[in-house]
Amino acid sequence: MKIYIIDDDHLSIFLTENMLLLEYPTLEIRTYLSAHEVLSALGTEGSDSYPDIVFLDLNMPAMDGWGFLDELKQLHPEIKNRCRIFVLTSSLSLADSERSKDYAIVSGLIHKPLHQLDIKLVFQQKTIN
Amino acid sequence: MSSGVTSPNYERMVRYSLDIIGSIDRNGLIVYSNEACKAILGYSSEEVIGQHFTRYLHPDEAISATQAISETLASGKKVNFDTSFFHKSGHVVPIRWSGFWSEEDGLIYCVGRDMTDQVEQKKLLVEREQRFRTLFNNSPDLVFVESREGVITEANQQFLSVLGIVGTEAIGSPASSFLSPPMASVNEASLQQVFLGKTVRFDLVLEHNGEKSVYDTEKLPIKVEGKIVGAQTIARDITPMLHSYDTIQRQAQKLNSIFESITDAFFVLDKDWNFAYINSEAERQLGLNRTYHIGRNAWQEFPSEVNGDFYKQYHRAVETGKAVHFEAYFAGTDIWVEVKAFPSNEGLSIYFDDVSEKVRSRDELKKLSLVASRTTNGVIIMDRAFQIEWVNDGFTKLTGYSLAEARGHTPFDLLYHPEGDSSTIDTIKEKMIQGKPVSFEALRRRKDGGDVWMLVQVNPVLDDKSEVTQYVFIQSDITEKIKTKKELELLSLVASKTNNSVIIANKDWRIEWVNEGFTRLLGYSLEEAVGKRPSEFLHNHKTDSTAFNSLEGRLLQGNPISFEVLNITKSGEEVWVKVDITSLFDKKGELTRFVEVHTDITALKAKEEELTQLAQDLYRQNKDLQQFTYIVSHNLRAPVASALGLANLIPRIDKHTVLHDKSMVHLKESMQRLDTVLRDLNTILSIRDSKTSLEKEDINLKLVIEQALSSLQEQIIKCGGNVTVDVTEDTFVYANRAYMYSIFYNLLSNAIKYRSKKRILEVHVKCEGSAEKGTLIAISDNGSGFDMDKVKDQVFMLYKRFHTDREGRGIGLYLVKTHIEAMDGHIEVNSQPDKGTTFNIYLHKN
Repeated sequence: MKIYIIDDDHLSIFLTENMLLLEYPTLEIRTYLSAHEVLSALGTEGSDSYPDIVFLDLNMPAMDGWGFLDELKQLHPEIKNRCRIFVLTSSLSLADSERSKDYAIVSGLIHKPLHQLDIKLVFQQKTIN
Repeated sequence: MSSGVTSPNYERMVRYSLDIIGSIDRNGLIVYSNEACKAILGYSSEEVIGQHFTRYLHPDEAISATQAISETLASGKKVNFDTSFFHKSGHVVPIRWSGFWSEEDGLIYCVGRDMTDQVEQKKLLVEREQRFRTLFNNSPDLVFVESREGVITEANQQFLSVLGIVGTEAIGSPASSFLSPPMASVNEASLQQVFLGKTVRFDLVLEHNGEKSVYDTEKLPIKVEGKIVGAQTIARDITPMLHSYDTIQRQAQKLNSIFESITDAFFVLDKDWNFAYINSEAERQLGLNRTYHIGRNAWQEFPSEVNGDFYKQYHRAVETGKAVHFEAYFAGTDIWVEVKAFPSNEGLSIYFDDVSEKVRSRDELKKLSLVASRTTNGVIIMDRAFQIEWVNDGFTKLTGYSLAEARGHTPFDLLYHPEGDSSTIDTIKEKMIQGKPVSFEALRRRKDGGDVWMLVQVNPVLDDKSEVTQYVFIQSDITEKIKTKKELELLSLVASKTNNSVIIANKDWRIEWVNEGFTRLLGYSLEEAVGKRPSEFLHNHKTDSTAFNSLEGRLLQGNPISFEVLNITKSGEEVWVKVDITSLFDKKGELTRFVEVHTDITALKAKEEELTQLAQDLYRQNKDLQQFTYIVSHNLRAPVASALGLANLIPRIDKHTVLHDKSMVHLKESMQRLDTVLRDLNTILSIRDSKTSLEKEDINLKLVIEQALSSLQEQIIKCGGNVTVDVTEDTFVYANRAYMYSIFYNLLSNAIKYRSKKRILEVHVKCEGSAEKGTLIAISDNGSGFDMDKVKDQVFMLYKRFHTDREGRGIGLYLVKTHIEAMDGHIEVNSQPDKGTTFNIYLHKN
């Protein structure tokens, strides 16, 4: 299973990646420090590189999480059916969770830090689907 | 004849004689006849010999012939007698016989001559004579014959009856005795001419029973064998002819004088449209000339009239045979004419009457009556006692009274209004009686009790002796006008007394009038303002005319506009005014004036500005609050979340792995970050709190910049960058030292951090401005820059970062801005990706 973690904070990436590996050591995890990197990777690799699950941080310089979602919808509309995106943010702002509902591609919003229970829910959802 | 003639000769002579020569016996039996009997009577001698002569004799003459024979038998003498014998073919032949009885021979010798020709000729002669005689006697002309001596030898019946005489009186008397002495001499002279062989013609005047008759008389010679034997006079009565000629002459004269004397112009056109007659009035009225125009074609002489009214009417008259009567305009002499044209066999008789005056006055009258009846003005005609004789519809509309209701009243009583000025009415009546035209305005009462203001023009009608016979009132309703006038008076009172400033300007915006309010508000008097444009003296550099400029189009279309603008008073004070401008147009829709009303809103404006300031403060504080929420929800929580996560992770991993050690390091980092954020917050809050009690001093700008640079010296050297400072030694700013240091440190540090990797860093610090207007400091670099469109609003926001590849917390520029604003300064940024960034800092003089 292919997992993308997009976060400008290497510390947060470290944490998320290791939490996931603790639960599912076989996951193929790619980490990106900026949304631009992901878009360019998707652009060059095409649909083969589509991940199954994306953990997306919101608060990033240059292009934030929302910007990424907007771009994705434009550039890769078909990704919606191939992949689930989870917003992973340290923000407790209600506005963010409300806003995330506007994006159909967003499967859920998780508050940092990522807990093993969250991981279970994410993957259960996957198996249910 | 007897000598020399032999008997055989006799025989031959007898035989060939043209006359019948024969002999009869005593008993009348024919003994002998020569051959002439064949030629005359158709019988040969053989046939007649032995026959009794009476056989051929006309029975009517048997007796006379027998007597003649008996006579000669008795006397033996020759007898002549005429008899009629029958020709063998049956017709009668007159024969003259000559016979004598010869006893010795016992025979009667006879010679018979054919008298047919003679008898015929004689008969003809008698007939002719008779005919001439009849003609002579029954001729209607007087005929008489005179001898050389002037004695009448013959006179016909007409002559006698005309002169009242009988034939015996005339014949043998000289013709002169029946003539008047002058005529007698004329006759005698004529007679002499006639006997000289000439035919003379003269008028003979005879008087009979007191009546004079004139005879066309011809006297001519009677010639017999070339010799003049008498003079015949034939006189024909031409008196009636003369009379009718006279009559014709007289009538022509009469007609002529009629035509000449009639006042109508008159002319006659013949069948070919030629002028046949033109009277002098026609010459005068129509510009015709008898000697020229008569005989000329009317349409050729007046080609412009062809197919005109005259042309059509005349042709109609000729075609229908009926007289036409019409009025038309004759351009030739510029007159209106009434025309009657009567067609006849000879052409058209045309009467003209100049009715120009009539037409004009009729037109005038028509117009006048139209005006009087249709005008919206009231018209009254009054007699000398001011009693109404007639009013028009306009009067009825104006006052409500019909003609029937008004007639007999005076307009003064009928329209009496208690508030009307009766003394004025008396003055007016006085003037009217004097026959002077006068006009007045008065408040009158309508039939329905309503008020109506009237302008009344009084025109007295004068007769030849300048005596007033009637009055004509023309009333116009000026109620509206009076109302408007009163309104205007009030309005002008309002305009001059209102606290608002009022300007009336012409269409070029030159002031025509200002009110006292204007002078009170702006200090300029009417005299000072007139002729100027408001923009020339009421505006200064702060005045923003964009509002007016954007609305001007609407104003010119006739819409009132309203806006606020800063004006400057005469004493230089700033006054905020609300301006209401109305454009005025004339009846043709052309712009004539502007009316501008100012309301002083300076106080209002000051309040408004205060409010705006307050709103801005509130907005900023609100924004700050939002930022704080953001900081708390993101930046403060992020390290906490990391720490929590790590705390959760660490117990689950083997203590002796690299991962465990790494996790511990990260845990520490998280805690440090949390500390940093808390410190940042502290810094920010302290700056905000210090705003009111900030320590400020005059700071040497160059010195501060150099201090900041020395702190960054190592990094500058490391990256090989170059910083130039274009600030003079003596530039001072009134500011907080620590803030100034922080500002330059942060900006320069940013310049180094976000330098372009493609080129060597160049930073330029420049100071412009003066102690008066404040200081402008520009810090420009040639670094990587950013897209202004994308991040403009966020550049100075806390924890906003625009570069993913460089370290940074996103607090530097926030602090810069906060510091500058804490010193009442202002910062702007301008940047282009991959070109560089410029920060402009404005600091006030104090």
